Amino acid sequence: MNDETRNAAIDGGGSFVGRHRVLVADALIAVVAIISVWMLVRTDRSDIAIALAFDAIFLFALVGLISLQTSRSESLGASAWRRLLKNRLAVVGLVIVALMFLTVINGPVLLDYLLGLRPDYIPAQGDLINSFPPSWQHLLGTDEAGRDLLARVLQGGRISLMVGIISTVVSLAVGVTYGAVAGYLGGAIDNVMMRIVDIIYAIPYILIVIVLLKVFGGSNTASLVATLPAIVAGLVVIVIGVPVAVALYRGAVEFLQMRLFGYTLWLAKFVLGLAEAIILAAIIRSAFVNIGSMSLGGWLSDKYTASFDQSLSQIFLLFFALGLVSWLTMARVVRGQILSLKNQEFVLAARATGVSAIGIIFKHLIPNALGPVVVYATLTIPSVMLTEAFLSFLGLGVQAPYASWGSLASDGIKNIAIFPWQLIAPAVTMALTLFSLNFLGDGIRDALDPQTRKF
Amino acid sequence: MTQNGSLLSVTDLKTYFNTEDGVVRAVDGVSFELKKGETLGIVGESGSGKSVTNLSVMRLIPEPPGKIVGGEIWFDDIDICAVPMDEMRKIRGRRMAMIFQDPMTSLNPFLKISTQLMEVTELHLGHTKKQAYDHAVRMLKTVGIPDAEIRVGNYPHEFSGGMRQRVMIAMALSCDPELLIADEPTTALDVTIQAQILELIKDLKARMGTSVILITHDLGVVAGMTEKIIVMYAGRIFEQAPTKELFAQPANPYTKGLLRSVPDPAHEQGKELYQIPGLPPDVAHLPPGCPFQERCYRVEDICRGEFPPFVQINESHHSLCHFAEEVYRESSVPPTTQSTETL
Repeated sequence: MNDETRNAAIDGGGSFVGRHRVLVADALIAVVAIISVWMLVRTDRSDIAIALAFDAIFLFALVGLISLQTSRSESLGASAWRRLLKNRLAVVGLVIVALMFLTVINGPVLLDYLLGLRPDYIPAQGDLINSFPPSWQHLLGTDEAGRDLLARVLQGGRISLMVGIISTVVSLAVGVTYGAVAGYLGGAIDNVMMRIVDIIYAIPYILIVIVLLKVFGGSNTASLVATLPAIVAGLVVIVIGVPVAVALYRGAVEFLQMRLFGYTLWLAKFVLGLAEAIILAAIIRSAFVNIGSMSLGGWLSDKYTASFDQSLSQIFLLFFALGLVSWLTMARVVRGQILSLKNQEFVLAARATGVSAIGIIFKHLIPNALGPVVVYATLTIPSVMLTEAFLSFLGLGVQAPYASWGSLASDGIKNIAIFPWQLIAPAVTMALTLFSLNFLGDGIRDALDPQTRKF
Repeated sequence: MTQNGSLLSVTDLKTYFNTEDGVVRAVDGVSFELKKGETLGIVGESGSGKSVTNLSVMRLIPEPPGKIVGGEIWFDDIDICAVPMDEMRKIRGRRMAMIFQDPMTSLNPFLKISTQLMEVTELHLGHTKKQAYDHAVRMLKTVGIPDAEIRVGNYPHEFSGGMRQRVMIAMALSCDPELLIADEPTTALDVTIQAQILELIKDLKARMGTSVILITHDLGVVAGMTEKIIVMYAGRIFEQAPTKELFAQPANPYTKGLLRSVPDPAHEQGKELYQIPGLPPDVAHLPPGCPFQERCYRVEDICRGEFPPFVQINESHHSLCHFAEEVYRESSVPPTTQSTETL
């Protein structure tokens, strides 16, 4: 953030956004924070809040990109962004993807509050046929249960895009760290780490997904998903609490050492140690144990278990399963990059100035490997989305009443002869999005590495 | 173990590399001392162990395959070989710093100059971002980069080679280290920039009182910069002498060869340039006896059979040769008047 301030100061001129980049960013962060808090408090309006929060994130990214263009900086990002804007196909892709995001974020909310159409609302008429063709009331028609198809496609888009993005983020976080550590440390550690990747690679991912869904699916899922916030909260408490307690203990010992000598010092240290152990035990206990009554983790998991039904937790399992397999290639890509980078002189120079291994990996090596990583990540999003659609089409992924583009297409194909719109609507939306994402990904690759352009 | 006023004391240092080709004795029994504020030149051909010696001092030998198998390195009461890695990291950059050969590759191309300069002082001096930034600008000014306030926000590719080497020097000196190791700092630069960089190092050294180890294979570079010189060959010190004496009266056939190899445009116009015949030996498979025997002009049977002694010629002049005294006496004649036959 500090760098940016300086940049803005040096840039001087430029647009309003360019000049007040930090201000805008801070304001956006504040808005997101307020909305998040509101979301937690007012659970009855959470859909609006979530949509607004995502809008804010979207806007934030947009401001970042615009300021990148106006800034005079010669950073890799700025020049790549300028090159991307010259690629017409990529810009079309970018615009379609951006519009798709906006529609998918805000569409369901607007439909609900303006027209009263909900993706899971089944009208209570007793007719045999509930599938209606597109009309003014239902712009894309209805599905076989009479639910509005537009609302379902938009809601399905949320899940499809979310699967793509979350799996990619997981693959980035896990794959990049894993690959970088393996590549930098090298030797036996690298060998073991990459063999683990090979082993997971060798298992067909469909099998992993089926096993995961079978083992943790069904009634187990809700409790499994509910323990996640508990574990996270517990870890947070321990990470904060234990160092504080240890620091207090050390401070106390130092204080005593100046005042006590001999046996009294030992006795005081013993008593302090005992107290310390009790405090630590209490911290750990408050974090994990007593789920459901007093602990922070228990409180969180209680709060969230209520809002989790089985179909939703199935979706989370799908995220998890796709994330589990999507990082493997990323880890290999990053490792290869790091291997070629780590013998360069700037790494030696960084070591000679006393930077630690972690500092070298995360500050010096990973940024240099980022080009291929970004390219691979942008192409991972559509490929994961396709995998999700495929799994949902087979009936393994998203289950009704939730929808994804894949499960909608799967529902639609049953009645393709009579109600073709039920297949056409999700299929066309998905195809359009995947095309745009692929064009965008190709554009980003060309922009980041202009020398490999094929024409 | 405090040395008598010496900042760095290396005793019988042995750094070996385990390769598939056998054990490579990159540095084999090197000893030297460096006093506070002194400048030491290390000269030698490629592969003679100059860089490995200094990487050993910084404990930057890639391990495996490399390993410091013997000897002692004392840096101001610190036993470098025994100090834990965490402590070593605090010494690197803070108390001893290094400048590398190729400024084109020794700056991270992805990070701004400011980020790279700030990293050092934030790490070692506990600077806040603001302090570190101001310090970075000040250091850039010190090394003579114009418009430092603006240039600090640039990326390395926006700098020329000489400017980048200045940035490297700024980075190395930003924590005011006691020892600066310059590993061929001017090899990748053109001659006018070379002179500037050397002048800069000299000037900063005088101002900050830093001790400098200057590694180079260019005798011209060390001549005006250093107080004493070590000549290395095949991982050994072949000759160690005060700069003036080494140039005036070398006591080792290898040093003489090196000195003759410096082209002299005034007197050698049109003539064939002198070179030491042959190639440096493979340090993994050194022959018995003197490692220089194959290329030496006065090789005798004893050189092939016995490893030469490290002869002390006078109080500060040592040479690794069976005939050190004789070579020393021969050299008293000014080298320009010497005929080619004696060499």
